[in-house]
Amino acid sequence: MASVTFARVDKIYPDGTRAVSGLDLEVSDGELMVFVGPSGCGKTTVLRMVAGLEEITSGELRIGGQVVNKVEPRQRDVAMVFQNYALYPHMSVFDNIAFPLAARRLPKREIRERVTRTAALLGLEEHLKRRPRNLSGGQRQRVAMGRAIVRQPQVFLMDEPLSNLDAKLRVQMRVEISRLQKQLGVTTIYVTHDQVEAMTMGDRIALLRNGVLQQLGTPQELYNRPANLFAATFLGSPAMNLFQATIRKGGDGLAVDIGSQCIPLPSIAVNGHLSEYVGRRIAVGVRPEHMIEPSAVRAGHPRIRGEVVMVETLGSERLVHLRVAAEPVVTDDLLEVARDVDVATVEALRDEVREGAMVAVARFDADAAVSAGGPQEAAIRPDKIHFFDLETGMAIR
Amino acid sequence: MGLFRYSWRTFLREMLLLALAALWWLPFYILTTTSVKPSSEGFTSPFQLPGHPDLGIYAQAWQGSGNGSLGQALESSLIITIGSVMALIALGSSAAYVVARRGGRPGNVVYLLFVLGIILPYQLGIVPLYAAFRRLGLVGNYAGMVLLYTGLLMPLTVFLYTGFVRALPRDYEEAAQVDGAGHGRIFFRVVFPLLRPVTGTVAILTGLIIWNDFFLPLVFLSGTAYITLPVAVYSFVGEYGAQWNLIFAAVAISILPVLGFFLLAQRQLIRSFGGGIKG
Repeated sequence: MASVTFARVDKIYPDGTRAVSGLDLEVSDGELMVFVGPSGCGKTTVLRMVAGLEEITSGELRIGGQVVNKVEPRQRDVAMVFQNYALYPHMSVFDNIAFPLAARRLPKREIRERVTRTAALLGLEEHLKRRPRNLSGGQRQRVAMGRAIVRQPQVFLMDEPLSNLDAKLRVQMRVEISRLQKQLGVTTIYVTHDQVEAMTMGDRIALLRNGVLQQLGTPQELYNRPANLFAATFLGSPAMNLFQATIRKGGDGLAVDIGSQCIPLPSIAVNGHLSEYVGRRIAVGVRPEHMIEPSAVRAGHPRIRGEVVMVETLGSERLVHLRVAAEPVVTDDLLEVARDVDVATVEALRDEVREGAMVAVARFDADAAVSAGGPQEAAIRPDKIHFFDLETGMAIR
Repeated sequence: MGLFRYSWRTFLREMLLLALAALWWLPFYILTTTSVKPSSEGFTSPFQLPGHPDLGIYAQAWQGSGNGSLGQALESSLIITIGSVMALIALGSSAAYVVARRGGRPGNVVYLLFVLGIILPYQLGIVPLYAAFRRLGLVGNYAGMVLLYTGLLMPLTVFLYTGFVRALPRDYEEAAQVDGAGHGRIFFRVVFPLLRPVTGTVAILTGLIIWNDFFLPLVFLSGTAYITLPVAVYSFVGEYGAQWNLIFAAVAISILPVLGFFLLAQRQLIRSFGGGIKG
């Protein structure tokens, strides 16, 4: 078991592509750190640098305090689970799991004992003689895990290990991996672009964009206090609603103008630096679950009006799509997140800009009386409003 | 469905295809019938079944024509072919692996040189090659022939292997690297078994080229006891005429090992050709 430290680590490919820039963080002993971000953000490169499969351009990488920049992969004592598992197709499950032990020239009896024990831990005893191609996706995934844990390495590296599984199996394996990791207590770096995996599995999350660390913290920290617009939109589904607004003085405090609506901000919503932005355009962010039906709250809550364009009934709640006359926030960060979801999302965002109106999602109670086509107000929880500088994209705190 | 599973159209089509297939059997028919006919009958009625089949012709052919028996030639052919193919697979696969994986620019140059080796006709260099081989004591023995074929067919082998290795996902090797394996173990335990389909192709292609080659054994082995089957067959051709029944019997004998190999290994061969990599 060991900690993994990145000290100003850069990775520049020979063609000049900068994959990772100045990465500075420490994965503590026994921790499960999730690297998350859209495709091409450098998360897999980070993982491959720890494995030794990718050279480090500059900076220092330490595993258990020892600098490993120039250490061969096989001498790093790390184990990796690949996205497509990379099980040796010509070997049986037993030989696949035994491979790392055989490579270390362990006695045959010990290999047999350890493989059997690992197989039992993963429920693979019956499949030891089979070839990988005769296994189901979930079983292959377990074999890949087995090959990693049989060695009792210092660090586990997992590269989107669940991305090839169907939704149901993914949930099951998510729980299983978390349980195993806790049970074995091995330091783990887990790469995914799935925010749900990141939120549910990580002790901490490192959010990357274009090779630059955007925010590092516990899942709850990232969700509740996003450091910038990118972090705000990347985590959360449906995503945070972002309105362009002007901040101004109104009555005995501050207020925001969202489109033609002036929404006074209660003092609880106002933080230290917000008053410096009076008269300027900013981005106001509210998560769907903090936009609720007005009848559920006291009269003093700020409210926003719109027209209901669609209601999605999910059983436990209703997602109300409100068309609000306000300019949406369109920055490079947001376009990148949107692009990662779907090209159509980018188009939708551009349409909203053209029309000068945007669709915000509010999470109403399941029995809230609301139907498409009519006007509707949504109450906003004042302590849950986020403000961002439109130019830098950074949170205003 | 009726009892008769054909319509007129499909029946005609199938008959036509069968006739076409029979055309491929014609050479074999002539080969086997001529090989048991007296020499004169082969000329007068080449397509007829033999009046009195004479298997003694095979026995006579087996004795050879003075330069050693056909059995000895069969042994030579087997030793030279198997030896060369094994050397080609062992050296070609590892060379191609290095060229494809760790080459960079120098690797590409080396690859290009190998490809050039396929294009250039080796016959142009046969005289200096012979002179050098004779000086090194490599003329008239198995070692020389194995070395010669290994060298001459290495470009084709490396070409075939390199294409395959380049298409092979790196993940397996990277997984093995992280699993703690050294270069040797990665190649022999992980990469080489994955190359099975192309190894099959190389073995058959180079094996057939070597088995059927006439020119090089004629040049390098003439006058020794180590001549291969094609040269031994040719020894039945005299200056003023050929004993065709003996030649055809010898040809039939030389085809047999190859045919037997195909029949026995047919399933594995097709699997290895069509197999590819399955995770």
